[in-house]
Amino acid sequence: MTDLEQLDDIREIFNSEGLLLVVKYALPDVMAFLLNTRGLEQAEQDLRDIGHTIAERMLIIWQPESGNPIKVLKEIKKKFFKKTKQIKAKILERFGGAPSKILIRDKDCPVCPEEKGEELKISEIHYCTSISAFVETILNWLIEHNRTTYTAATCKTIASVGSGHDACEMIIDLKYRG
Amino acid sequence: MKFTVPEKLNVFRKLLARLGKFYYWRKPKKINLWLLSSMAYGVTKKYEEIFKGATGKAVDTFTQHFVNGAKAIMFQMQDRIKILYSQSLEDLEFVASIALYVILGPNWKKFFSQPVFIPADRTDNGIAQFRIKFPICALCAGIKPGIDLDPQKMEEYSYGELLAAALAHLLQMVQDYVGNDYNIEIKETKCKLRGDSHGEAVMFFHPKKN
Repeated sequence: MTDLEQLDDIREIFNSEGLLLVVKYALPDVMAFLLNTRGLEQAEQDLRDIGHTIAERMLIIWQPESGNPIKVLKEIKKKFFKKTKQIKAKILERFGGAPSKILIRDKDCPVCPEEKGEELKISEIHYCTSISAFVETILNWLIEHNRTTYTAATCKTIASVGSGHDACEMIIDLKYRG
Repeated sequence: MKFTVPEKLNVFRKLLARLGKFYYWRKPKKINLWLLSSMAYGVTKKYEEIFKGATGKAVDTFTQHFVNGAKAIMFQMQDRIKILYSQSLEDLEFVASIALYVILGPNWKKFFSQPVFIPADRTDNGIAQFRIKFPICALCAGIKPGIDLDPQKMEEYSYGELLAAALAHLLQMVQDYVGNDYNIEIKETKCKLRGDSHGEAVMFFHPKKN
């Protein structure tokens, strides 16, 4: 199969959707497997690695429309997780007027369980930590392609519904020159 | 009201299912299919690392995890969808097409051909079969064989079998519920990663031994 044919197939897949429920029901087994075989700390890192890999594959066919991290997050939710509620963002710190620390709050996380009682009993690991790694990879791709004013980006999940919190939260740290 | 499993689905039940599939597809939250495919790849690669390069074991473990998820969904929905159950194996063609619509929407036909049931008296080994082809494999697309995943290291396991394996378990649940004594075995007979022009999976309906 040629690369061009591959790209046609990828385009067809990219233009299609599946039930989000499939992810929500498959993830508990993945989480349990990682926790049992790898331990807390390594499982958290594994989830981040998975998030990076997923983002790299998404970038084969998709590029964010904006370099603004909040707009990137909103685009991801709108395009890839249809019918989920939008995120809320709060700028916590600024550097010369530009946002340097942003709090993202999601009350309708696409990954975390929706029903009470399905949360992890361990709060030290964040259920949806792969999402912050996913976003971090996308923001760093934007930096590499000179589409941002910030020069470094890190994202960290600090709370997740799947681990017993009220909402999923991530902190985006942005660095600027000067 | 007690639910009686019919021998065969009648026109009314099929009509209800045809209408119901639109509702069950439109209402719930969706995920981009390429993102779902990328998630499966990301998890499989991590499992491959955990199993120290044993790709087959990684694929098999993730398939089990995915199928467990699919079974949990089915279990939760069973009361609503059992109107689709019948004792007839021929009806499974219809049931599978409805299930694929509910999971993937109207685009399901891009990724799966219409499933075909072959009765036991028309197969070489006397075992009833259910064949399904994947013109576009939503899992294998974009994977460079030997670079991203090595088919040689998959042993008897198949990466593209994931969705078909979930479907096979769904059909097994139907068989168990209606009281048909079959064990469904799934085999991927063609795979794009192994050089075939399309993917294909066959489900074999082995009669349970008493």
